[in-house]
Amino acid sequence: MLRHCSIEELLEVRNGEGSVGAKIHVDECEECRNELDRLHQRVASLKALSSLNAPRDRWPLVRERIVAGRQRLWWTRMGWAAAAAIALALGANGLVPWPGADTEPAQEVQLQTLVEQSAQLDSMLKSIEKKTRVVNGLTAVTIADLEDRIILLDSRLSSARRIAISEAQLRALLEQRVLLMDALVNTHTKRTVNVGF
Amino acid sequence: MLMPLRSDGRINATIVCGRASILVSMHEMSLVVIDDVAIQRAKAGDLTALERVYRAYEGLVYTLARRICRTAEDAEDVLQETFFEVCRSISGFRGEGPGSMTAWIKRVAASKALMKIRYEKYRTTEELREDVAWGGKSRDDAGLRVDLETALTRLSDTARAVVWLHDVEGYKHEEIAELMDRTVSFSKSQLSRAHMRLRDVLGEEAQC
Repeated sequence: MLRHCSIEELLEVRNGEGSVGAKIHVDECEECRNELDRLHQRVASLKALSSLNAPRDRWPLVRERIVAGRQRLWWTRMGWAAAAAIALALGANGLVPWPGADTEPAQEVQLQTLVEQSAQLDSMLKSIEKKTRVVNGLTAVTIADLEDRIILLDSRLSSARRIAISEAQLRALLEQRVLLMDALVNTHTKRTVNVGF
Repeated sequence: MLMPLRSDGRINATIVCGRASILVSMHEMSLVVIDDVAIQRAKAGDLTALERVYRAYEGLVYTLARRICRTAEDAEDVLQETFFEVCRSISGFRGEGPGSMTAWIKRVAASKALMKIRYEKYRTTEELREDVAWGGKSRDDAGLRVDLETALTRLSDTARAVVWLHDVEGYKHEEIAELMDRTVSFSKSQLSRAHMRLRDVLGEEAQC
């Protein structure tokens, strides 16, 4: 090689990938050898930079999210099973309707539809959450708020039969759940869409 | 002009000894040991064990995140997201021993950090910032020597991420390309660019 090595060539030589010509040139050229030494020094300096400590302890927030996630999963399983059982009982012929409820065919369909919509949103959310993304502070707050409200709703749904709420109340709860789940899915979807070079 | 190696002793290191991974803080002389039992408990969802994992690796993750991200706040977000992901996915972790766990956690952190710099859309303005602030040798402060940490902040987000992942964390260009969803050539060119800029910013004489 008649010319000096470029930084790309020196990096390749450093990584053991350089051309034979570049290696021979570095061996013979003091300037390029010095430049390669500086490259090594620079990398050594980078590696020697001190380790950093996070200014704030983030474990409580991580823990809180884990616990909230587990609670949501539990309530989703328990509350959801109860709500689905109630809706199916109301929708099935021959089964005893909700105490005091006037079951009309249109309303039965509505309840079943709401159960199906909610279940669909649940599975959509699961598939989105698997592709975990970085969340900014505002989005994290929105998600946490929606999740909290869903947990509360699921809790009320799970105790629906025990406290004997009316069919209209059950429908209202299910409608709220669908709305909140929809908002949660949208929030997750938007932040996923926004990501990209 | 060469940058001297820092010798303030504030170096943390994760040492894998047999079946235990020891995080050593040379400065604070604290030790956090993660063994296979703790990992198994963490995989079972034990919150105390998960916290031990967090404590053992938080410095490593934060340092990586801070070196890649532009702000400390972003790095903290990455720290939080990384461990949320780790805690949620640890039950499916199939690696054996703390060594592979270190590699896994670092990879999750790198992925989150890269996602963060994409998400914040720094890249859309960083070219302009570089050109305005550091383009050419006619700038007033050309040759002004700054320390290495400051020099890192003068790199584009992408170049800084590549130089850190490749030269410090030991990732190969193929791995970086995969993490960034870019080509190997892109990773190589960013590394060259990073070194050229570091050389300029640090005031080293360009001999070649």
